[in-house]
Amino acid sequence: MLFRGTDTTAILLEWIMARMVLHQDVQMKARQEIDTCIGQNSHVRDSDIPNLPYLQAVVKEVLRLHPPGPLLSWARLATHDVHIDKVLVPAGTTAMVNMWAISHDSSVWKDPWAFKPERFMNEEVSVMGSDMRLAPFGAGRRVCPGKTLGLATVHLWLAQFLHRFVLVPAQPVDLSECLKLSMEMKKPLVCKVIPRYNAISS
Amino acid sequence: MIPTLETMFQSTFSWSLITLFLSTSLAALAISFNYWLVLGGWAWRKHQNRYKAHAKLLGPVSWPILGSLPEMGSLAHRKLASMATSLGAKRLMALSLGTNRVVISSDPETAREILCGSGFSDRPVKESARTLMFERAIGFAPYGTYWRHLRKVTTTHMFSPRRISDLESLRKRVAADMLKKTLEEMETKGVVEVRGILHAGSLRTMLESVFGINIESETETVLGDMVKEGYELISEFNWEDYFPFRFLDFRGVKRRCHILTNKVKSVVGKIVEERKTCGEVVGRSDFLSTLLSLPQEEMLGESDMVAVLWVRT
Repeated sequence: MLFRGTDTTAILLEWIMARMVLHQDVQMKARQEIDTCIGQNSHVRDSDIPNLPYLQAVVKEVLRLHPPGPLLSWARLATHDVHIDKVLVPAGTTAMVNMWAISHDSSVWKDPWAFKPERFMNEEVSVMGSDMRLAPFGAGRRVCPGKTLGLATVHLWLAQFLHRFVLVPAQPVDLSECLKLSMEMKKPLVCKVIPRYNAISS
Repeated sequence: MIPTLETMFQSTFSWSLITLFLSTSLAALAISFNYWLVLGGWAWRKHQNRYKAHAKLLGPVSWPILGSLPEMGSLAHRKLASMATSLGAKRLMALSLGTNRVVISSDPETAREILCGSGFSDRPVKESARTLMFERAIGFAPYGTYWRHLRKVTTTHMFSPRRISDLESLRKRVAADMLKKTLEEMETKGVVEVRGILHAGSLRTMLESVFGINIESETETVLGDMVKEGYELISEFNWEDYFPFRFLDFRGVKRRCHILTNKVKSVVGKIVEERKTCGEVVGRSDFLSTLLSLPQEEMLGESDMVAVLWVRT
């Protein structure tokens, strides 16, 4: 429990915040959605998230561009001889999926390098493992069992940050990657926050 | 000095030895080129003949012995993606990582075959992961009765919708705390580095949801350090994972893994033991209490319980 749950949530949120600092228009749009949905004087709750489609699209777009497990972290092992695409894969071979390559492939995604959460507003794409164009938690039997809890946590915390603060740049945002166990930002994000109002500060 | 017959003979002899040695090694190198030059790298050598009848496997001809290991650094996903594109092997690319045969899919269709097909239901376990007890936790346990049991226990008791909503108040409390810390850091430093705040919040949530609220702050620090050490060890490059030698522990990874594992067993084991003796497991919502209040036939052994609590996924 302790081991895998801790890093992925924090790493994904750091990437999202970096994108929010970089794309002020997207940040503003996401905040407007939150304000319209729950007003300024109340806290965001889990039950508000289904009413925040743009916020969810932002999270999906960051999962697409900066998946914390670009090679889906842990590979599989062929237990017997298997054919993939008519090609023989002998038993004992390690098989991996480069999800990062798929989510940056121009024959799969239009304009793959652009940060455009809007792409998920026009088309319903599930990130839970049914759509292989974007399966950041893996799929099948070995899909990440904590995916729902992880996403619920990221949505709630992101919504609360955007509701409470405006994130602005303190220095140019460096999106360099470093793949360790998860794919982290090479340089930690440093930004400024402007509190929006003090009503919720307690 | 005029060379005597004896020294002349000796020097000619040693020269001829050197020449002989050089020429044999050159010849060996030339012959071995043929040995190393295999599509997908030399780990595929043994299986080469099987592809005469089948569709061809595409992959880079890589370094002797190391295979494509030099490419697997901190930008491996990008390097593998551009290799697959340039070789026209997006659907399936063969690689050698040391003595390991590897195939990589960069395509939605073949990815589905790997992730959802029945042929790939196990996970290869890295040596460090094995030592750190990953083998007994759900992510790595081989597919079978134990795995199915673990999966059932975690999906019904840890990640069920009810359980996630039970944890909402904890996640909200931690969020409020993170917002407060962010504001404080902004006020004192003029800028915020969110990584530390997010990581602490995430760890706090995890510890409370697993062990409950009454974890001493001392234990919390110890557990936090253990998670960090484990993360570093798993990310470390380990020669043993790529070559079949059990003594290649140049970097001391194995030794550190053993030390950490013993520490985990003692710290987490102690928490489990304390919870058992205090007996208040019914009605508490943390995952440890849930595991301890499982009916007898579903109960995990003590060491498995420690492994499950520690690893997750």
